[in-house]
Amino acid sequence: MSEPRRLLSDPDGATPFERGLLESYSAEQPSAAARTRALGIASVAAGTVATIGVAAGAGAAAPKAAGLAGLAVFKWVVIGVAVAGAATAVVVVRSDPEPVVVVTTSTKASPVAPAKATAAVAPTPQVTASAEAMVEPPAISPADLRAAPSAPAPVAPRASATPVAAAPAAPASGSLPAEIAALDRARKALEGGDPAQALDRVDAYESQYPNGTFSEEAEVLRIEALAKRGDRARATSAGQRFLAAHPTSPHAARIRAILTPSNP
Amino acid sequence: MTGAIASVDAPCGTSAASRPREGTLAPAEAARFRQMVDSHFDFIWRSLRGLGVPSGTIDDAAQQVFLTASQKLSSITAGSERSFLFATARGVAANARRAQQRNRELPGDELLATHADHGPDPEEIASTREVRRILDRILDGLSEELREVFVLFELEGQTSSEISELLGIPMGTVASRLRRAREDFQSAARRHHVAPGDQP
Repeated sequence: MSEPRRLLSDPDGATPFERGLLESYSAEQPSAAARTRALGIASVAAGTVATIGVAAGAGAAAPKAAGLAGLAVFKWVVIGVAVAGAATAVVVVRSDPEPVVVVTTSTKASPVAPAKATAAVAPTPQVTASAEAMVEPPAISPADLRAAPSAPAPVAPRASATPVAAAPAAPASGSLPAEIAALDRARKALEGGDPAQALDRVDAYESQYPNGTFSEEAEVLRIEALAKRGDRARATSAGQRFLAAHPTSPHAARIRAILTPSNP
Repeated sequence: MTGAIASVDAPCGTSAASRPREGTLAPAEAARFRQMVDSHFDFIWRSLRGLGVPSGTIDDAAQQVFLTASQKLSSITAGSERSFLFATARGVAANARRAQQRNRELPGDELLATHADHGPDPEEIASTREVRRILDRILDGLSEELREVFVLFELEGQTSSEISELLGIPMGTVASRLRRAREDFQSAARRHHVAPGDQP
């Protein structure tokens, strides 16, 4: 059976309008943040060890993690890795109750600090670039992975761990899915057109996970819910607080858009 | 915070640390999982979008797919990662579409839609985003089975045999679905082109 030609690769395959439609498809790509969040599943699930193991072998996560700047998601893992030749320090640690940061430091009391600290290490633009690189899978990671496959992850424990003192991290392995679920409930309420319920759920999330992995996202949801409910005053003040606290957050643009009274 | 106490076990670097805890991924599994993310995340993300997950929720849907994969990692046979992920994505997308249909019946949805785009500005109407919205609408009009073949072949650039494997259907079926999907796509495109006043 001969392979049909794709409409886009056949000069007579599509009208210009159709071509435009088909081409619009690839204009949308996942954000680095989304990818990193998925990588985070493994980090959390695997706890510290695997995290380091990956730093040694596969380690695609770090630059993207850093790219998240504010995205509190990455509190628990920060892996510096060589990406496209640019070697980076290894900073590992997961932290829930007591953040432990290595290499870099920052010992603010707040557990949020590590994420911020690391974020600061790698300037966002650069990060974006590397994240872009990751989008083309062959470019780096899978190859790297294959390159070092037989040296199974355990390479980690001593190898790159030098700077890692020890991670007495109490891995909240179990809590991430629960956190995600809790926040998803809020998001669903918002998407379902019920901002009041969304607010309740955000509150519930924040009280259950006061230093939650997704506290920043929770805050974004709160602001959206307030705006959606028509509570401009509170939305604005919460939004401004958010922007002040997380000026480089990937959510910042969204927050600004919400705050801009563009909608008459 | 579950497990906070239970697992204060090993500082990394000790042998105990390489022992997987209950409900966690062993290092080798974590590496495998990461490879899955690296190799397939973008494909899964776009596929979810192509299969009709509303744009605001794709990140979550993708997260859900990979979370499921991480939980079932041991039952995914080597080499079938992509199929597993795609099958999961189909399920997630089907749920998302159903949820969206329910939402559409609620009056709040329009609000949400405009809010997400923070107001349609005239210039944007002609933009890629708007074109994409038309594509979405056209895809929404295809039956599920035609839609997935169309997305995989025309938009994701998969080969017929890859699609046959991903969907678990014979090559002949791929070909015939593709043919029908194209017809539907083209006639829908014609309608939208003729009547661009379709937008609210």
